[in-house]
Amino acid sequence: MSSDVKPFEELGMKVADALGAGPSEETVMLQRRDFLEQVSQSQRAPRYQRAAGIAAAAAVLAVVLGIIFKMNAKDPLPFWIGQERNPGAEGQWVRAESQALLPIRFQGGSEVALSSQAAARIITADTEAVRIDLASGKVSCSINGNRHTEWQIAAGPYTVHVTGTVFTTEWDPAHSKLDVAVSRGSVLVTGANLSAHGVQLAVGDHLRVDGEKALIALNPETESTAATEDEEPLSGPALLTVEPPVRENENLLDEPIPTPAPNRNGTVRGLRAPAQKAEPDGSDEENLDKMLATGDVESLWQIAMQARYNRNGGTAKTVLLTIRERFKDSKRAETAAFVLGRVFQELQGSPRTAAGWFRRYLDESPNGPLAEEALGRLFDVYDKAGDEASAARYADQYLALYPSGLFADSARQVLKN
Amino acid sequence: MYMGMLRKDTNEISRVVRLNRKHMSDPDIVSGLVNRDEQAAAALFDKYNTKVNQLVWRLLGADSEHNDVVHAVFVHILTSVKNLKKPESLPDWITGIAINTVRREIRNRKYRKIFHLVSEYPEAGMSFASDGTQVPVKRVFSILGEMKTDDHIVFVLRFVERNTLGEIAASCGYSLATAKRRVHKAREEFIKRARKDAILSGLIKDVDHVF
Repeated sequence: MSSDVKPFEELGMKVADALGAGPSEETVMLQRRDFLEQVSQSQRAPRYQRAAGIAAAAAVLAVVLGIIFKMNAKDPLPFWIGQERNPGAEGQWVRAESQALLPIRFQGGSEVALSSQAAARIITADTEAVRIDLASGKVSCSINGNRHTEWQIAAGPYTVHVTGTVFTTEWDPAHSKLDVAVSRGSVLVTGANLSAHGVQLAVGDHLRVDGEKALIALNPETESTAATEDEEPLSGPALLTVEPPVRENENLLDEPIPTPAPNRNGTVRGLRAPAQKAEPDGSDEENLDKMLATGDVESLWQIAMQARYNRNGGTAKTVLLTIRERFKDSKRAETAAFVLGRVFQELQGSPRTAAGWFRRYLDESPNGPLAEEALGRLFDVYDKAGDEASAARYADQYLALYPSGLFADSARQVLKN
Repeated sequence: MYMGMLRKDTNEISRVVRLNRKHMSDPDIVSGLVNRDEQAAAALFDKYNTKVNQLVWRLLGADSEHNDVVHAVFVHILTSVKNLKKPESLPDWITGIAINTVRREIRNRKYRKIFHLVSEYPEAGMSFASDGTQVPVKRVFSILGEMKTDDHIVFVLRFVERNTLGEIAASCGYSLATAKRRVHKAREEFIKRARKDAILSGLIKDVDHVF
């Protein structure tokens, strides 16, 4: 009997492997918030069970109607300031005078908390976009991303673009210093002397920029080390000198920054309104199949980048692998290896597979425009996966090639550990 | 663990990030839910979201409505927990609810095809295993979609989730003999349809030779 089931078991294993274990961590966070919000709402009703059912039915109906009628209205997004929950208004300045955090709570569960003496202004707050101008100091953000509202924190000449994240941003206007650290999700930081298309930060990434000295450090030494050396985080261990990156034919970074498709509705439940863009964006299954089979490399590339930006790791992975298969000798195929590493690292939660793809990029394009970043991310991924020997080996290799590179500080830390 | 992910100098984030409640016992979770305690609801989600997510993810094949179905599972748990006689059997009971919720969802879709609002099955024709091998995930789930709902579920539980017959029996409410019979039937139904598929027929050709 065992030989009868072996082909099915093998097929089943491959299907399980291809599917993965479930959605991304960020999706699970959204599920959690959605569920607890409903629990909280139902607590106010006299009949808990009935309210849960009615709320669920009403929410589903609202989402379905939103899809059918393509509701695109841009409504104000209410927010409240402080523990007293005073209603806020667009254009309003907010300053944290006391030692305690000053929270700004937005409808939908997002929160931006100003540290002591921080000052910020809410430029825009509606369902399409929330833009906050951080004049000085530090904010801690927990953004409940819904793929519908674009969040931006402007800090001097820099902008932090957010989808659904927990992170901090600190801006020192007197010294033009920016500090961004991500503990969940990802952000894109643009502006000033950064790359033309910004620096994307994922979980655990920490960016420090000194605009005066043109210093940029990604994942510098850890807080515990820095804090003992200097109370002022931004003037901790020496930052690195980085020439503003001038990358020719840089396949990854010469793409326009993908913008989220506007007015996607109901995404906390996983339902998406039809995208407003005319070109296929991967949400239409039949179109995607057709594109995978017959689309040109540039169209497929756009789909992959959009999927990645939307944190749709499965689609991004499939399209990138198709590019590598159908357009083997193209530059996109080379870059796809690097991007696959990023997808497996950030969206699929598979550090070893990510490492494999970074290594493949380095094998195929040892002098490619992303070689330095691939090597930097390679030892970083091994480090996070707990493979100290591999992390040390590649960190050593990185420092030999790029002693003043973007990841040099992290490499030294890995070797020290 | 949320608190564990915070760095020392950003402990302010704790004010906006919920604490992990994985360590509440099942009886405490059940009694808390019956008493409409929000902490118990949070503990329920934290403790069981991985299990529920994986089960729904694989039964429906990384579906676009995945979040809705997971949400429905947890809401159903809330509304039905008062009927759970043995709190210590919470994990198996939750598995049963997840499977029943997916079963209802699959059946409902057969009546909802007129809307064409949702894609039923995975977002791409071919998916790739971590070793780079192409896996015809969509074709597999297309065939599963043609089968009876119970056959679909049993097939995924046995061959994708790698459940034993005993586990399938427990989670689907079958006797062991029935579970064995259902697995055999699901396999037969899958073979019948896979033979007509150019890619899948190659994968199961060895089964044909045995027969």
